[in-house]
Amino acid sequence: MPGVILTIVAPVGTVVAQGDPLLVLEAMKMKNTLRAGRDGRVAEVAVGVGDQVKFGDVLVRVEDA
Amino acid sequence: MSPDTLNSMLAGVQAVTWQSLVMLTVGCLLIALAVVKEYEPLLLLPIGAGCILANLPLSPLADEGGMLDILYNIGVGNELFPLLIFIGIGAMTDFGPLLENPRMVLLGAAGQLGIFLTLILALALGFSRPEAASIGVIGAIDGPTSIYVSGILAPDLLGPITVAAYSYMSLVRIIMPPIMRLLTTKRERAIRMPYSQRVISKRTRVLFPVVVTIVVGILVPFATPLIGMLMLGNLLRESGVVERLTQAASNELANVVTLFLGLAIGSTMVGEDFIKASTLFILGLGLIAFCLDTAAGVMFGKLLNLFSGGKFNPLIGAAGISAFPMAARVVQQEAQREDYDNFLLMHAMGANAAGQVASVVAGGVLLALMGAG
Repeated sequence: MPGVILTIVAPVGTVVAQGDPLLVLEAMKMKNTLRAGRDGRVAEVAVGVGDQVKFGDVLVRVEDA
Repeated sequence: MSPDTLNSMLAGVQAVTWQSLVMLTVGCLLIALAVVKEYEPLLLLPIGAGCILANLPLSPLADEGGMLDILYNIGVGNELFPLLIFIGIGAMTDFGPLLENPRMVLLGAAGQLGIFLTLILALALGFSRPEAASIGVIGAIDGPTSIYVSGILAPDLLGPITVAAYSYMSLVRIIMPPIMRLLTTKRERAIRMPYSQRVISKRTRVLFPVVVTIVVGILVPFATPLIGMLMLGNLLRESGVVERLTQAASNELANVVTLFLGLAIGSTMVGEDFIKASTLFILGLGLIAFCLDTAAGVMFGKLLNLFSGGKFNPLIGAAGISAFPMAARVVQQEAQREDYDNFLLMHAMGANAAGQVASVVAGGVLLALMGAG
């Protein structure tokens, strides 16, 4: 879903459980919290606050903790 | 001091009636909802203020030639303000999600079913045909359309109908979810829908408002003023060559007219006319219309789901009303309650944009059915 990155909740290195919030994406004036699909550690955050993102862009990579 | 002098000095106090006191309370309540709860504050605050100002004893503002009276006559009585607001709405609406997924038009149409069911119900309760039609329009949850239609068909009911339409618009996220949950299963709510990656060309975006205006204008002439202004605003936006007009329409024009419209509508809520059993009926019927519209949209969504072999999330059907973009947001929230990784927002926005156009067309159809002219 296209939108703008509003906040990054989980920076690189954060240990997350499935369902934890990773970042907030604003699309159509609505804040959408994107959550972790699995347990692990945030390995890479590919976007910064204020970035415009498109459908299919990689935003965050979560790897085994 | 002679008794006469005292009398004339206290004329205001003596002119206070219990009805005006009730309406002053209603006005304060509307302002409180706007300030404390932030329910549609842009509208409820001016409406509340207009209501208080018009119900003060002997209010010179509401008398003939007073400011509120002038505002009513230049903009509400002759349908000008709702049309100007529609230019602004058109300039603010992105029809992209609808163009990417044109089948959403069906949901916009389904979302208007409640209007016609409520019309029948209102007739059964003894409202006249034009009044019943005006009450049904509340179900579209479209303020300007409600004002436009009831202004032509039933000017006497304008106050309660407008208040109902805008109150329910502000209650979208409270009224819709229980109906949506009741009518869908957990599995249906969790259906994910892929995004098409269709790119909409600028030519399509510019042609869309022009074509819609011409087609709707020919099919439903009574809808021409509303759809024409909505699409004019959208054409300004999509043309990309009149940025200043787009800004003016979506900011200055919309804001100024919203203030005037709110005040003028509030001033129609005068005690003796407003405190009637029919007002309660209208509020009740408006709520029923809204619920029926939501239910009809969801049921139609279920039908689409059946035909598509389980690939269509019926929640999106609920977005086929006019309350833009609140209805689409509610769909998104409800889908995420079941599955936080499910993003239906853009699909719902498509249905929501369709609902906006469809409610305008439904308003025009009602006017035509009632033989307004």
